[in-house]
Formats: sequence, C-alpha cells, structure tokens
Amino acid sequence: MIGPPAPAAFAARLLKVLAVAIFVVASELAGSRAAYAQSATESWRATERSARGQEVYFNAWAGDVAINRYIAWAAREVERRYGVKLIHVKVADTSEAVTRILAERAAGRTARGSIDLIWINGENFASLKTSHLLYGPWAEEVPNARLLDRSDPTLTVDATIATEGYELPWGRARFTLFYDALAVGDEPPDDPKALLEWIRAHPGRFTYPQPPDFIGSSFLKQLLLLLTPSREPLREPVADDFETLTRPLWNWLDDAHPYLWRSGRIFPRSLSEQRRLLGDGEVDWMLSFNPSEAARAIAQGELPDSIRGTRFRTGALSNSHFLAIPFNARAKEGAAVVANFLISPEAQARKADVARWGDPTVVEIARLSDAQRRLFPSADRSSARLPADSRRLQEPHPSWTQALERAWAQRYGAR
Amino acid sequence: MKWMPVGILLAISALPVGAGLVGTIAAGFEAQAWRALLSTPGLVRAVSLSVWTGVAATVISLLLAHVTVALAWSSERLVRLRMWALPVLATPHLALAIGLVLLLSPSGLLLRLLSPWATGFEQPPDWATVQDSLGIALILGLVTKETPFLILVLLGSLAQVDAERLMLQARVLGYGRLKSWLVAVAPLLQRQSYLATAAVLVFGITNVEVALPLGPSTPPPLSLLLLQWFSDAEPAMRLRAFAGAWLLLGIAMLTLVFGHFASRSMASAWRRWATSGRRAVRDTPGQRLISIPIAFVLTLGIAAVFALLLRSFGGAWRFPHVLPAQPSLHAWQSIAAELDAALGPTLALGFATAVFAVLLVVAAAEALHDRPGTRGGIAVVLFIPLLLPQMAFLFGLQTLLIKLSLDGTFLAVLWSHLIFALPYAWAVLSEARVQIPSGLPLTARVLGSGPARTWLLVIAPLLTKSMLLAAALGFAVSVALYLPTSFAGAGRIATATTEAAAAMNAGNLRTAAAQGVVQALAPLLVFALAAVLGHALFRHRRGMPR
Repeated sequence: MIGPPAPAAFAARLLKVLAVAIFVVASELAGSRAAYAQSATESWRATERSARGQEVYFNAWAGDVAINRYIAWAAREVERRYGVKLIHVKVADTSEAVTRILAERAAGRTARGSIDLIWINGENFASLKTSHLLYGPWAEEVPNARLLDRSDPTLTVDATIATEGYELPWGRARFTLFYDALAVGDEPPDDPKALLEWIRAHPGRFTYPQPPDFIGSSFLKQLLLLLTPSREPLREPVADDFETLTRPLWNWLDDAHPYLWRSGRIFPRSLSEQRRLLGDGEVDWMLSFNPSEAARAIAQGELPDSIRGTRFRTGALSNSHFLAIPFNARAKEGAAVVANFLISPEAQARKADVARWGDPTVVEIARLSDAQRRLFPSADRSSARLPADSRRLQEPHPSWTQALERAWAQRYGAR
Repeated sequence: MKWMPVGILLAISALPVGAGLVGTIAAGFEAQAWRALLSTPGLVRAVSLSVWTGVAATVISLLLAHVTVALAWSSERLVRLRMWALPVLATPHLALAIGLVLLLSPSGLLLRLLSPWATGFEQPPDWATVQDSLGIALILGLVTKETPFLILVLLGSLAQVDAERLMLQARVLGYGRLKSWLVAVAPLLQRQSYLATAAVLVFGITNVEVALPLGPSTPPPLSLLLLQWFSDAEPAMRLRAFAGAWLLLGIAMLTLVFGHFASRSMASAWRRWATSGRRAVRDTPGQRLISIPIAFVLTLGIAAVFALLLRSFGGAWRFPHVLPAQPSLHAWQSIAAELDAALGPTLALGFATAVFAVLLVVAAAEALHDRPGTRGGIAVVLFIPLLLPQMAFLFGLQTLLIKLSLDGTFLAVLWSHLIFALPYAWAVLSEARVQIPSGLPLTARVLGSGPARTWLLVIAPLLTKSMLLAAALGFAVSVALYLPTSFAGAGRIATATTEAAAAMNAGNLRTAAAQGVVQALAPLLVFALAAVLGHALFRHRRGMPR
C-alpha cells in the first residue's frame, strides 16, 4: 500500500539524511583541521630543518653566574638536539642591545644583523615594537606556545603593550622585598605605611637602587600602584593629572628619605650593589623582581641565611620577561627553535629550580603530562620561603616609567 | 714608499676617530637636544664636579709623581719603585676603584680591622666615606691610579734626559738634592711627559670607570650622566646624550687650554724660584714629610688590589668580620669555566695589538727619525683619541664599522684597540729611535752594509728593549679596554674585560673581583716577560739603554 510515509519513518529518514550531512560536514572539517595541523607540523619541521647548522647570537643580560650557566646548558642541549649553535652574547644592560639594533637600522643594515635573539621586556620591547624593529608575529606559532598559562595577562600584555606574537614569554617576575630577619624580625612590614614606620624607626637601614635603575624605577611603580588615589589612569599614557596621581608617592618618599641609608643623598646604583650592602650588613633590605633571588644567593654563599622575602599584602607589581627576534636577524629559524626549546617543560622545569636559577615558569602545569609535571621542583625548592601569594598588580603604561624617573631626578637627583 | 708607514699609521688612528667625531657632532647639532640637555636637573653641579675632580686629581698626582721620582732617583730606589707601581698600573681602573670601595667604605676592610675593639661599631656607621658629594673619594681613587702611571712615564722620560750631568752641575753650584732635581731635571722631564699629563687630565674629567664606584650620584659627574643617556632605549635620551658628548668634549678641551696657560705661568714662577739664589742645601723636615702622602697613595693602591683579591674568596661577609665567613673558591671555579671562552680572544687581541702597534710605529719612526716637526704633528694626531672622551667618537665609529660590514669581527676590535695602543707605542719608540746617534748607522753604511742589514744589525738591537716595553704597554692597553671592545665587537668578541664588566655591572661582586685579578695578572706577566727577555737578549752587551 502506497501512502504518505508514516511520520515515524519520515523522521527516521530525515535523521538519516541529517546524520549523513553532519558526518560529511564534520569529516570535512576534521580533515581540514588535520590537514592544518599537519601543515603546521610540516612547516615547523621545515623551520627545524633550516635551523640546523645556524648560529644564534642570543643577547641576554649576564649579571648572574647561575643564569649564565643555565644558558650554557641550553646551548649544549640545542646543539645536541637540533644542531643549532647558541652563542650567549653577555650584555650588562639590555638597552645596549637595543641601541645596537637602532644603530644597525641607522646604518641601513636590514639583513644579516648582529643579534638573532634577545631577552627583553617593558620599555625596551615597547621601543623596538613601536619602531618596527622586531620580526614577527612568530611567537604564537612555535609548538610549545600552546603550553603557556593563558590565565596570566602578563604573558600577552607586556606593560600594557600587547605582545601580538612579537615576543615569547620566558619567565615570570613578582616584585619582592627581602629583609634580614635578625634585624627586622619575623613579622615584616607588609604595606607602604608600615614600611615607612619601620624606616623612620631604623634610620640608615633601608634604601633602594637609584632610578632609572630597573629595580629602582620598579620600586617607584610598586609604591605608586599602592598609594595612588586611582589606578585606572595608570593603564593609559601619562596625561596632565600626573601630579595629582603621584602626589601620595612623593609624600611617602619625602617622609622616608631623611631616614634612608646615607640620609637619601647616596643610593646604590643597582640591585647587585644593594645585595652587597645587605650581605655586608650596611642595610637590612634588598628589592628584587625575582622571588627566589635570596634563596639562590644564600645557596651560592652570597647572602647569610637569615634573609627572608616578603611582598606587600595589598598587591605586588608583576610582569613577565620574554624572547624576541630583531627584524634583521640572520638566523630567524634557529632563534625560533631555541625559543621553543626554552619554553619546553624540560627547560622550564630546570629554570624553576632554585638550585639552577629559580625563575617561575610560564607554562601552565595543568596542561602537562604526569611525566612532564614530575620534572618540576617541589614547592619548597621554588617558593623561596615566601608567604602565600599576594595580589598581582600589572605594570602601568611604559610612559609612566620615564615620567616617574624624570620627576624623581627633578626632586631628588641633585641635592 | 718611505711615507707609506706614516700614512697607514694616520689612517688607522685618525680615520675612525674623525668619522666618529663627525657622526657625534652631526647628531648633537639639534636645538631640541640642547634644550633637553640644559633642562637636566643639577647639570651645573655635574659639570663642576667633573672639572674639579679631574683637575685636582691631575695636579696632586703630578706633584706626587715628580717628588717621588726625585726622592727615589737620589736614593737608588728606582727599581723598587717600579715594582710598587706596576701592580696598581696593571689593575684596570674599574677593578682598582672597586677595590678602594671594599677598603674604604664603612663596611670596608679598614674599619673592619678596627671594629669593634677600637671603634665600638657592631654595625657599619652610616658615613659617606665613598661617593661623598664633594668628590674627595673620587679624587683619591684617580690619584691612586694615576700617580703610578705618571711615575712610570717620568721614569721613561729619564732615558731622554741626562739627569746625572744636570744633577752634578746643580750640586756643584751648591744646591740641595731636592732643589737641584726640581729646578734642573724636573722641568725637562715634564716637557717630555706633556702629552701623558694631558691624557691624565682628560681621563680625570671624562672617565666613568673610577667615577662609577667612587663618585657621588646626586648628581653624578657629567660622564656618568652621558653613560646613562646613551644606554637609554628612548631615542630622545640619546639625542640629549649626543649634545652632552659635545659639552663634555668642550669642557675637557677648555680645561686643557686653561691648563696649558696655567703651566706656562707656573713655569715663570718656577724660573724665579730657580734663579732666586737660595740653595736649599739641607732637606727640611717639611720635605721629608712629603714622602708620607706618597707612601700612603702607593700603599693604598696595593691594599685595594689586596681587598679585591680577598673579596674574590668570600661571599656572605658580615661586618665586622675581617675574613669572610665561608671562604671558598666558588668564584674562581665559576670564572675558570667562563674564562675558557674569553681567554683566547683576550690573549690573541693583546698580542696582535702589541705586534701591529710595534711594527707600524717602528716603520714610521724610522721614516721620520730626522724630521722633528713632522714627528710632533704625528704625536698630536695619535694622542687625540686619548684626549677625547671615548663616548664622543665610539658611537660614530660603530656606525662606520656597520657600514663597512666589519662590526663584530676580530679585525674591527683589533683596529679599535690599535687606536688606543698606538700613542703609547709612539711615545716610547719614536723617542728611542731619535736617541740612536746617527753616526752608528752611518758607519755601517760607509762600511758597505745595505739599509736593511744596517737596520737589522745596528738599529734593531738598540731598539729591542723599547720595542719590548712598547709591546707590553700595547698588550696592557688592549686587555683593559672595555667600551671599544664592546662597541666594535658588537658584543660578539668576549674578553676578560667585557666579562668582568658584565659581572661587575649587573651581578656578582665575587666573580668581578676574581676577573679583575685576572685582568691585572695578564699584563703583569707580559711586563715581566718583556723585562726578562730584555735582560736575556743583551746580557753580553755593555751600555745598552736601560
């Protein structure tokens, strides 16, 4: 009997058609994704092939024996695994390398530059990126980039400047204050007000590196973020409300300076100088961006083991540091291969170990396999005896750094 | 053909310096740069600090050096004097200045030795014994480093002055020992050491190496402001730096001119004193007192080197302990690993610089030995790089090297080192060549010897000692150069000095101290080698120049 199909049968046929259609579309999609994945792997393989035999000149701050040793280890590994020769160009200040790139551009050298890979962040990155002196975007395409911790905004926004694939996160930093427990006790001041009280009660025992030193300027930013009446405008370039926004910072410094080491007339020139002052017993404090600074220095016998770390309870200035490739790099493929290795779980785990370097990883541990997770040091070897994590405060816009440095020089630079 | 060595010499020295200067001057030629410069807080103080410390240090060092040589000459202590002066001379400026900080700061070795038993200090006192705002510590550091240098320069000039005869004449006329020396010999020595004194003055005004650890910081001397601006990533700051380089150049040149006239009016006062008729026969107690500051300065230098050495063994080192808590070889082990890479280039550059400087200068000196006027001109041109702030031309030089695609090569670094080694080699060798009586080669030629043979058999042996000294100086200069190495080498040529600067600037004092000791040791060994060679080669000859 021929009649209209029963509704049940119709529904079944429709379902069948739909299923087929879905299957076709889905397999189509899957195929292209697989093809895409395959082509990505393929193109990375091609990168690795061209990297083989290349010499990568890695311009990296070389102020610490542990860091130099870590880079030497990485050089041996990339040579063995990828046939890339990594040469550590030891720079005393990253801006040296930045000015070299500027000089090369001024001399018209758009290829065969002298720097292949550079360790960078903040104003140096902003300066190179806005002058279009960086190669990219490349950083999101290296295979290990998928392991990065996406929940941390400092990995994609470097001092309010979006990285947009022009630099690859390498490590994380948090502004930390270190003190001698023998002098300060077990309950250190944990906000700017308490610190000021401590300073006034202990004349000559606190200081900070003179801005524009990196740590000195960071201390100003850290205080500003906690003292300013409104944090929002700091995300934007400096405007004419600078005076109002920074007034509490200058008040704090005006109150503190007469009680600083050398009455605030002389400042240490750098973190390393202040570290010596702390070690010799001239001051009781030291400031750093590396939360394991003291743990490593104690392990190396640079500091006595009574040094502890603390952070402002109300929030610690946080940022990340990165790897970038200059526009005229000679060995771009080699540089990308090295960078990819440097964020591999193995390399990151070694870097997080206080005995090696103690730099917090940029990899999200949850994305790793169990075996990879076991590579990472246990908490007590990476926490550097720090209290539970305080709030993260993000870097202000880079223009604030310079404005603060200028205002500081105007007020305290010539007395 | 005869002039070719002279041409090469000038091309190596004047070309890059000229190109560098032009680059800097062009970049500093902007009203905006000058406005930015003049708005720098404390600029006037920074400039006066540079001039004051540079001038004071030069005057004191020169005075001490002259009196030291005078006292030592009469008492036959010249050899011992050299031994005291050399370690300080061989220690790089930065390392010596750090050594002084480790000695003199409130947590330094000196106060540790006295605490707490004599001073009662359990904590270092909050005193500004270094980095004081008047720049006294900076002056002391410069004097400690430059006095031995000037002593050696004066001793070198002694070869060209017949001190023995002059002294004899003055003594026969009844003058006392010290006065005889000061009126008869010292002015001649000073004339010979004119350029070296000028170089000391300019270094005092423009240096960063001594000012960085010892100078004040609010504000610092102008040279340190320049360094800070030049290394700023902000292009506007670099513009200000170029204008600042002009200013530094200007004040250095003005002070030189001023110093020239001051020394002239000094000379006439000197003559009045010399012809006053007063014999000053006996050494007064005042004269004997002057050996105290000399001994102090020489001891201070040695003590600073010692403090540096001690530091390289100690990490955590609480005041008032005199010795580090856990002395270790940590720093030495870690630099042994790092030196592995840097030692080769350091030695290769040092020896190449020494060899090329000596060859070029010997050839040019041979061509010009009978032309005093031209020689004077060449000396001025060769000394220009020592009389200019390095930063004033290094940026231009860097651009030139990049354009020639030479940056980052061994050749480029060698070139930059030659610029600084040639004046020293010239000062030693051109004079030594002139001292050879023309009768000797003439006799050889008359006896039928060709020019090449004459040079090899007659002139070369007479020059050998000076050649060895010039080579050792060239080596020492090369080993100590930091800024030129890092600019011309694009950071790719690592030497012991660039490694030490990286360690010193950013990190580890222990490693830096150990590197500083290595840096001092290498040239010392070469000086010793030169001395031993000089003795060994000419044991059997009499009357060779000392």
